[in-house]
Amino acid sequence: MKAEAVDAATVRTLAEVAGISLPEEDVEPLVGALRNHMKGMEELDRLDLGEFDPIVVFDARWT
Amino acid sequence: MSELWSLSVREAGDGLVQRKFSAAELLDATLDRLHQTEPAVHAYVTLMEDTARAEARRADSEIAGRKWRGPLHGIPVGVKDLCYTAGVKTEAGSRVLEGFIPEYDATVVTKLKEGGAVIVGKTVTHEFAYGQDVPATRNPWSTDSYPGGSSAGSGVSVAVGSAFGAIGTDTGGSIRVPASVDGVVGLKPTHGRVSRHGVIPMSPTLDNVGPLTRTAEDCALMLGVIAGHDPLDTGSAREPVPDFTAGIGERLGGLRLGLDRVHFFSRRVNPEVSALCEAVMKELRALGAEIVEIRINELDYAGAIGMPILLSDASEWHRNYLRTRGDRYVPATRIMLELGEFVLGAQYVTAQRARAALRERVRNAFNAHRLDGMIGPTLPTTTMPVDQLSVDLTGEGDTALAAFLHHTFMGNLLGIPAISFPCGFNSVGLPAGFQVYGRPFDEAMLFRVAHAYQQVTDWHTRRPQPQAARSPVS
Repeated sequence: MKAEAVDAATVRTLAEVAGISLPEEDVEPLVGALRNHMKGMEELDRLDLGEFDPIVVFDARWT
Repeated sequence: MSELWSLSVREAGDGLVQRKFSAAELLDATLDRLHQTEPAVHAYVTLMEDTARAEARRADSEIAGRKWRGPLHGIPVGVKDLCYTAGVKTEAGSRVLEGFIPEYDATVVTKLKEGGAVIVGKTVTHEFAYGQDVPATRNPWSTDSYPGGSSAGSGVSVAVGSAFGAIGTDTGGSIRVPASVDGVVGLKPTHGRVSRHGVIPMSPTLDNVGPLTRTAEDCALMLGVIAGHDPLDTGSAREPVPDFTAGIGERLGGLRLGLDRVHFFSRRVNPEVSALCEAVMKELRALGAEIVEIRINELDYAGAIGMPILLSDASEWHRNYLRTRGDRYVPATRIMLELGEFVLGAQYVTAQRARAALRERVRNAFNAHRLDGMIGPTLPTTTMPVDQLSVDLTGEGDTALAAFLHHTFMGNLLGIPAISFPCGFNSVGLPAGFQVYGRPFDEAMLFRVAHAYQQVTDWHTRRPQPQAARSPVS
């Protein structure tokens, strides 16, 4: 989904999936916030990241 | 003698050891200053006068008995209200935790107490340090203006002299932002240098605990007290704690400091702030440092990389509270927590992959150019009136907070240390900050640079005289 396609219905659906009871006054600001987030992800999608492992910590040792 | 509250930690500590004055007298002077300034600045949310007086009496007794605990012994300090304090209300600036009294101290508080510090009180924070609300604290240089955040009260208490030093936390710049706009020194240590145990978290890999003080030397002294491995913090580093003051007093010959002008002097930087920072660089060159122009394109992605991580991490911690006490959050904080629940797992991993790329690019630049540090303005602006402040990250336009993150987020994403120190005042008397980033665990270099600069300038010696705000403080 493109950032500009995010609308109130998108936000309500995501909230339902997440199991959040969303106050009505939060819906409109969340549309803007989610668009911002999606634009940021679109920026990252333009980077070539194939050679990098994500920064996560996993240590298989039993301590 | 100067008024006691205006001494540095070093000067006050020397005075205590030499019995020029007592810890009780030092505390009295600090509390007098606190009661004089609090109506105008609101730096504290909870005062701990009774326990502070008991701690000061004990310090006097111990110092008289030649049991000196170190540079903070008998020194009045503040602690951000994000840090657990046993038996003392800890609410993180939120109605969600209204009335919460921890049963134990955060490790950083334990270390302060073991070091003999006198804890004056808990300092004001943005709600859960998210930076989405405007706290009651006001900037002492202009009391209708933003005090910085999220460690708002910590920065202001140090600036006005109601604490000699204070503990802050920094997940995206929350120590360096108040340091810059309040005209004090703030250090975000290397990730893992200071324990986060007992500190209400935002993000396990972005959070840091660190000191705010009036001088670089004081900052080094305070870090020496609170640093060190803590088995109670899984992210705590097993690194020796050096004498952070060891390099203080040396000239800067041989130091190479990288400057990415495209990133740190972008169009967002106010011309007056830009001019003040150019003057700092001139001084640093005169002190012997070499400034090397570099360009790291990936720095411009710091916000895009950091936000999915911050959003997800914060929302994960708040999951239960959001569902059971959602109506108690400030709406803007709640919206960010709701947004964090919408970030997909794959997006989180992409951000962590991009974070690895950013780390490699910066490390390569340090190595290729043989850099000791990187430099630039801490923030693109000075403070602004609270009614003109936009810290809301939910809108689609550029905001003050997004512009701040552009300058500060890199330190949190890479875990490297960064210091902000005062570098002058604009034409209406508001302070600006200069920032130096260092290699991991090389905080000593940051103190060396900041101290050398403070030996040839006097910005850090100026004290605000706050007057009550023109608009009521809620």
